[in-house]
Amino acid sequence: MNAPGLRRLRDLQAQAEAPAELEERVVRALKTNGLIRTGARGDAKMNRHYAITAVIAVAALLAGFLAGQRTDGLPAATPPDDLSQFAMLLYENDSYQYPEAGRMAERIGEYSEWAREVAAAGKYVTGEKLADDGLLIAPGREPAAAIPMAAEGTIGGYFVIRAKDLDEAASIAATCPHVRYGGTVSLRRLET
Amino acid sequence: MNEFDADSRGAGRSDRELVRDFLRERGEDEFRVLYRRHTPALYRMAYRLAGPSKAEDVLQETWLRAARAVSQFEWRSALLTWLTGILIRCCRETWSTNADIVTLPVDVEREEPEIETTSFTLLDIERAIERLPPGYREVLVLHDVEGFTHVEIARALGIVPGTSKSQLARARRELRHRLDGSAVPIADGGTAT
Repeated sequence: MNAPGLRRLRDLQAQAEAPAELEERVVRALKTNGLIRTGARGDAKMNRHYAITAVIAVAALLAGFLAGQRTDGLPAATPPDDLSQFAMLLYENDSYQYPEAGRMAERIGEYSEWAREVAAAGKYVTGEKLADDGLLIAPGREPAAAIPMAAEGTIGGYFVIRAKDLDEAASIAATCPHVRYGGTVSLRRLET
Repeated sequence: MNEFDADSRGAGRSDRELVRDFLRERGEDEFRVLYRRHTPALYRMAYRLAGPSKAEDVLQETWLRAARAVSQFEWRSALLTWLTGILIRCCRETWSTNADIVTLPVDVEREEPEIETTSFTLLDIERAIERLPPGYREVLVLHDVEGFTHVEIARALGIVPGTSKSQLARARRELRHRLDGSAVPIADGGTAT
């Protein structure tokens, strides 16, 4: 494989490049023949994805609002200084039971109620939905447009809560609707 | 439009994972990742085995047949090897002459030395490959241009590795003859006149 002649033949690889428009032509042909579901640009997965990230986003927004502006007439909880912070990483995975059609608002309501209760107890710090795009950075390679896929799925969002120890944090996380509906939550203490 | 990027969904996922997910929902994203991963090599092969004017049609037909049959693929070879076999069959259907590979007894042919082509331009080589008999062209393109092993070629073409070696030896000899007879070697490997 190291002979100059063979290297010369390998140079031919650069001499023929598929035209960019060919991809759309092939995709159309496959759709016409029923080999790709029309409108199935990952639709089922995308819908489920947005279902799960939507509830995270709404719950995080509501919890953040409640943490800063009490609206229920209760005295704002003042967290003791000895509480630690814990990150709840919410994974999207195949085991998650997605809401049935038309019941998304109900699901969001359950997440929001959970967030409200955590905030009311003074145990809520922050939470965000993660954007869908990202870069995978690794030594010795160019940053790649990729979201790493772990065995648990991909991380769709996170909450940060306060608790006196890991056990209490786990008891709070276990009540999150995300767990009740089959989602996985990774709980990690922040070293602050 | 909230659009998942096919490349980011596919990065780091094996062919087997992508095919499994593609079959689950016949999803466009998974197909596009597989298409972008394997089309560069497949197109190059189609370009040289079926000719530039037929390469796009051959590639489309290859993906159509692959999408129909992939549920039966048993992963005894790499996906690209399997796709190459389909592509070769599509190419052969475009040829007007009988392009069946001549089956030779194993080890009848002495191993032909690798071709010293540094004295010719890529255009000379390209044209000489175009004029090779189809059976020779297949093995030479797959082995010397695309880097397939004889075992992989054998799987793609449905032959034994010994036949692939024999065909390659003949193909190299034929290519050398055609280069010597149709092009004027240039000393520095530069542009042909």
